[in-house]
Amino acid sequence: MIPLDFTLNGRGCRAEAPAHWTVLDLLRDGLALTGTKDGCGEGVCGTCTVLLDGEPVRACLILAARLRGRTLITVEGLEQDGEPGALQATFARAGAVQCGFCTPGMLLSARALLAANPSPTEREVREALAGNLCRCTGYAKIIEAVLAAAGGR
Amino acid sequence: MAYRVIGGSQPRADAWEKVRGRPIYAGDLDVAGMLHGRIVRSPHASARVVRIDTAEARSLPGVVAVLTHADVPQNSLRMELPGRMAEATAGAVLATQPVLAEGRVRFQGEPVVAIAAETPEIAAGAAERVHVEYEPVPGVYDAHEAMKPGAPHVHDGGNLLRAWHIRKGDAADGFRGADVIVERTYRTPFVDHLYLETESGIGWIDAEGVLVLRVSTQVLEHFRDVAEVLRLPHGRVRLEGAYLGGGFGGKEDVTVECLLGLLVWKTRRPVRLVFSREESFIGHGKRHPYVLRYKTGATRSGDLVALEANLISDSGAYAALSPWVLLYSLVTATGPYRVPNVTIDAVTVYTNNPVASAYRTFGSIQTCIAYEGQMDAVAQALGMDPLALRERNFLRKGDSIATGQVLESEPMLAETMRRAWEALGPVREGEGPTRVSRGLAASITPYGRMCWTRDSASAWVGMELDGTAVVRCAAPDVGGGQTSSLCSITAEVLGLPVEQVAAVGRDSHFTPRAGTTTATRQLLMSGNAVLKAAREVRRHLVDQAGEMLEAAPEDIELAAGRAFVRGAADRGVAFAALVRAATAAGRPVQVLDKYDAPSAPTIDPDTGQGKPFNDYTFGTQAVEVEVDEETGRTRVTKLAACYDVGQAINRQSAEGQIEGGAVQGLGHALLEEVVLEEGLSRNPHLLDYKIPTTLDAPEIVTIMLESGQGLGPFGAKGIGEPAMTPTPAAVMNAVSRAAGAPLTQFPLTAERVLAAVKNPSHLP
Amino acid sequence: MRLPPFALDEPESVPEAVEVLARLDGESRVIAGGTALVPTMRLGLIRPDRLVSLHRIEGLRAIRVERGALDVGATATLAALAGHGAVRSGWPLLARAAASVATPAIRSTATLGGNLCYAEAASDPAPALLCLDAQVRVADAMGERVVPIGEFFTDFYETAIVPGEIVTGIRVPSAPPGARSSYVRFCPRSAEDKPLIGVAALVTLDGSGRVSQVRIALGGAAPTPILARRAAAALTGEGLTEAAIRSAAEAAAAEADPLSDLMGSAEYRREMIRVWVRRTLLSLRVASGLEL
Repeated sequence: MIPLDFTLNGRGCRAEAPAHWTVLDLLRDGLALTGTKDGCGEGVCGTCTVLLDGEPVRACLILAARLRGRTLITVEGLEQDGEPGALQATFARAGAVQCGFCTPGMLLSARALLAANPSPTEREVREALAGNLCRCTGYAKIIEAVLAAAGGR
Repeated sequence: MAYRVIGGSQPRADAWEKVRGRPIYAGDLDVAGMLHGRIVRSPHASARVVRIDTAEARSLPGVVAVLTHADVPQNSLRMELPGRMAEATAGAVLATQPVLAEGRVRFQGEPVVAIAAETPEIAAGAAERVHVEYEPVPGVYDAHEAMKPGAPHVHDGGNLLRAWHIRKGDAADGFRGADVIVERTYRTPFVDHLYLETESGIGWIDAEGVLVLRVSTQVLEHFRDVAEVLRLPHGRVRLEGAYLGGGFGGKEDVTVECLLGLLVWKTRRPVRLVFSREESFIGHGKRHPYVLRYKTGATRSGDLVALEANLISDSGAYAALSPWVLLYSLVTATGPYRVPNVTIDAVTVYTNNPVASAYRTFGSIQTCIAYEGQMDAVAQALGMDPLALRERNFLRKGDSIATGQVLESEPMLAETMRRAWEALGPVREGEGPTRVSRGLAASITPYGRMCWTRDSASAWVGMELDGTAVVRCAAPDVGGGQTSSLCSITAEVLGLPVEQVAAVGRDSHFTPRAGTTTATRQLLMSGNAVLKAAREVRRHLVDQAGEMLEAAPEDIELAAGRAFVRGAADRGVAFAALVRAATAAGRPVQVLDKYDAPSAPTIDPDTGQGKPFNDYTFGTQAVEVEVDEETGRTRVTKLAACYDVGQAINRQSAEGQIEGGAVQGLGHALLEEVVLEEGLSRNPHLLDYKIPTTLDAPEIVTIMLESGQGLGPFGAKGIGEPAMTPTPAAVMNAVSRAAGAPLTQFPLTAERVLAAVKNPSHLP
Repeated sequence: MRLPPFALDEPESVPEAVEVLARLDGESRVIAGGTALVPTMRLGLIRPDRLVSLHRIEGLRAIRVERGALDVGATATLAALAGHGAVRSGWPLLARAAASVATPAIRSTATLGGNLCYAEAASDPAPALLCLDAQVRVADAMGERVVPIGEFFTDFYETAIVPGEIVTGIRVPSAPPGARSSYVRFCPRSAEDKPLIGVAALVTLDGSGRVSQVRIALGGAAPTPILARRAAAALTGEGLTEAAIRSAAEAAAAEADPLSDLMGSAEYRREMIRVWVRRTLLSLRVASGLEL
């Protein structure tokens, strides 16, 4: 077992994981944070997207051992004082959530985009979210929601 | 019609938990002492199972169960329409499917052994230590080949699973009167649902010894299948419906339910079973591949006079829902058009390919490809505008479809077509090697189940003492907003803000049964059941308020959680006080009701005549595409969809269905194919099976017409499946126009498109 | 889905890493970003019982310019490479190729060294590095050696490195002054995909507008990324005319040795090489040499 000390959703976290566990295994099965999803195991679908030191990464591809000393944000960390954050609320109101399985990954990719580029064009939104597959929405309202979150807040 | 709630756009109640990443999906729950399930599957498409050796696997520490067919009390799953059945088995016998293979495997991925272990790692280790000896036997991998004498039999009794026919008028005579006749063959592949949440479930045995399964499923009635397999009384199995991470028909058949139930029952411990993505690709049913041979005749002036079609679908190794998918294809084969003389012969055939079953549109998407391809071809042969040709032949109210059923409401087809086409905006010219062109497809898709299933759904609506309302209805929510719609309907009828209506749980034991979330039936069925129940609750509230406010019930209005006298809003009572008073007066403010869909006998097996469905949704999609004439690469730049939805319950949700269906259809058109070699999948991975991304999705314009003519609540029709039906056909028509040659084989890969561009007389 | 269990070494320096590798027997693998390795393991295609992870070796991810040459540490991520100011201005071809790989969440993790060691035929950075005449530094317990990029890829998914060795860095000399470059990748399926083929071109024109130096490299045109030497020869000394470009494209198509797979047949690949080499070279007629 590898001891892990890292920052999780803004707070210090102490955990341990076997060497072969990925960040996704640790989140879902070690820390009961099931917001991050396991959709493909190949790094393609994007449902496991989390932010590691602010950058979007695939939790299913990163060994848990690499978390030591780093900062991790999951969908559970987007809440503010127990209430949905602005980006989350925008998604909900814009009809950008149908089955919701892609939603956590989408939110984190969008969050990373808006942190680096607060006023993206529609093209830039599409490129930033190209690694998050959605089968329900056709992406239309997701893109609208991200643009609305960028424009309004 | 102005409604308070209906027709507006509200955030769905479930959206808030979803954006917060709360554990609402079947695989999110953790139960103390939980074991991890793992299935060992056949790597062969056609083989005898000579021996299964589980000794080494069982001896691995931490392995609790390694089960084979011998451990299954009743090892046969009757794959048929879930829920109530009337005469649906008329005709060929439906094959059963074993839960765990015994003696024979018939498709790659067929489950052979079920394992439960303390950790996923141990379960995987046990799976590697199971030794199955197979003896491959000749299989058959093509539906046409399977029909030939001498083909290997997938099941005893031959490979023909089911045939349907339509005979209307005299097609031969009709063709004699035709000035043009167009014959083409269209081919569609196996396609995967690719819901982002793979098949998952968790089960345990509760304090009363009831087997409880919490599963991502479109059908809570599968508790009966589990009970049959385990030879338990039906009342001893409970299916709790988690929110699905997508279904699209892929979770309509049993997926994990029986395997999970078996593992829980045998180990007496909680078990979680989740399929990997690769396993989902290989292990669950696909969309049927079809070969559609069409011959269409028309007069010089553009009247369709005859249609002869031959449909063959590949059912794969087991029957599943193939006979019914074929029936939908039969009924929709002529499209939304008047055709006086029709001959259709449709067969579905066993092969050792993956099992094919329910998938959004349920056999209507393949026929749309054919009938809309034919319309463009006939228009071209006649030198006629393709829109004018369609408009001339569109079904109108009072016309009959090929089964003889008379349409009782106006399909509004011409309007959907014109508006979708116009919404593409001014024509763009291509530049350099980029050709820009447009195409469209009109469509007909049934909503609600086949009439002879005598479909019904129940719901309970009740007021709580705090004046809020509760809906109990076991309608699984696949992500299409099924649950939210029930809240909207209740809120509208009772004059409550939608936030004060709670829909609680979807459960085969505790919530009134509403049937499957399939067949675009849930708004019609559970929606109407809730509507009826809510109206009854309203009657009681209004009667009580009338007494309290000394007014006639017909003068009482309910709005914003208050009952008041019309025109004298200060004479009112808040719901909390009203409900308390009603309860004290012995007046029920809780109602259980049910909605029965109109029923009819099965259509005639030889002529197809009868009333197969209660109603249909009509719509048109128009697309603009860019085709690179040097590479064949195709992009859909714009898509416009116009449907008569009857009445949108939640506008945003209805738009979302159309947008999502169109993009899923785009995937079918351009990208998606399960590539098989002798029944073995070559691309069971997302790296090789591509679905549309944000960069592939076009600008989408949605136009909803609201005729109020639907059979659902407030005149709503269904939109879930119809949203996808015309997309592949519209893209095909646009690309064929750009290429200068018809494309008829899906998906329309760049390589295929380039071949058409380079060979204008090319006809694949 | 869980990965099959393995032991994990996390050396903190290159000497420690190669020493660990020298000691090991059994099935062990080096892991950098893991974006190729982890899915391969999850699918059961390889079963290492030990992984030697490079993530704790700080210096290995550095990107530096030294004496005019670019030095990229083996575990520098593609995102870091694509976003690095000096790389974007001095080696835009490489920055562009790195930026085109997959999606942001993959680029943040995937490394240049890992990409080269995976040795996909259609790797995006590889053709750029071939044009730029890069050198790959390899270390083992005995010392270091340098492998010119043209010798690095030996066969389909195979490289010149042997067990016990790790790539430590990639050195990229400065491009010829005034060189124009372009990297274009062609995805016939989804717009978000591995490319079917990729074309990297680096061209320098002399005073009279003739091509004095040219390199054209292709991904997906052969079992390994390759330099299209005959295509380059067809262009050398010529102006960037349509005729010269066309004949270079023909030469590239002829010297390619493409495979057939689910994404496309060999014939289609060959035709796409012809089309995209032509288009990429045409784009270099613009002085800024921007990609399409």
